[in-house]
Amino acid sequence: MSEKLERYLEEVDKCLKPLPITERVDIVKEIKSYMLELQEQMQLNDVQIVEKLGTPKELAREYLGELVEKNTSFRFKNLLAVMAYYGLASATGLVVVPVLGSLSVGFMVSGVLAALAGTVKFAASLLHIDLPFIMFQFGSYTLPTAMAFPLSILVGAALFFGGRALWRVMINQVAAVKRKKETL
Amino acid sequence: MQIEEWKSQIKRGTLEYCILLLIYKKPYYGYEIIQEIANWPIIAAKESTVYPLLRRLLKDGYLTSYWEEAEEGLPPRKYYVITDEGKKYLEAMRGEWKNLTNVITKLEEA
Repeated sequence: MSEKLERYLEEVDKCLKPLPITERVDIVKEIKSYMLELQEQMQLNDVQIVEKLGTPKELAREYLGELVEKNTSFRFKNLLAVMAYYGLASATGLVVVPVLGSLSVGFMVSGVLAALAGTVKFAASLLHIDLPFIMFQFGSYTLPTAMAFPLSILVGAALFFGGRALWRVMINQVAAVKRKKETL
Repeated sequence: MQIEEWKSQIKRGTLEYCILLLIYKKPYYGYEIIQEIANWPIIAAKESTVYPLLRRLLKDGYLTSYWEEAEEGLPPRKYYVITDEGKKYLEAMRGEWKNLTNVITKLEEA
């Protein structure tokens, strides 16, 4: 296998980073086998082969794309795959998806923390322990604990599901780009 | 042209079915599938579409695969075989396809 093609395979491997190592190895092995078939059966040269396959980034993107669309549940590994996929796609992808991605994660985490804080404060107040550093505040007005608790659950839930919705929006964005690309 | 966009939609919707129909008959490896579907432009697709699709079908359990060392000078080949799950899936698609073609025939008559 020529250096040009070996380098191509290395590039593809790099772009497939979010995937487990066994998958990456297998994917590269299959692409390499395909390249050799093209050489043997169709007598294509390196330039023709690379042209046929597209850039390593685009090729890797197609593999990652299948992984991303299938799974709309939130998993950190998927976040990386999504970012890698879109990062390879376009400049807007470098902005839109990381923003949506980090916002959705931020919202979900904040949502959980808010609900947790409210619960802790409420439980503490039941035991007559005062936790002055946890409070539900609008500007200078502090809510009494009894009211703050249900509100914190509400806000927490809103943030959490808002975050989840943003995550879905991002996944749909990725799917839309993939569809758009196919119609080009 | 709108027709080209429609054709690519058709292709995207049916490629999976076509590929499973092929693999149902016998095990295929990637290059072989790409060569075969190249015979029919309406479903012809690039390796960057076919390979990831095969991988997904594998992940879904509709296919299994094995690597085979080929003859002298030729590279090892990853063959895809349809599973029982895959056969069930294929039957379901076959039914829906029949559904679709019946409807279309009806609409074309009127």
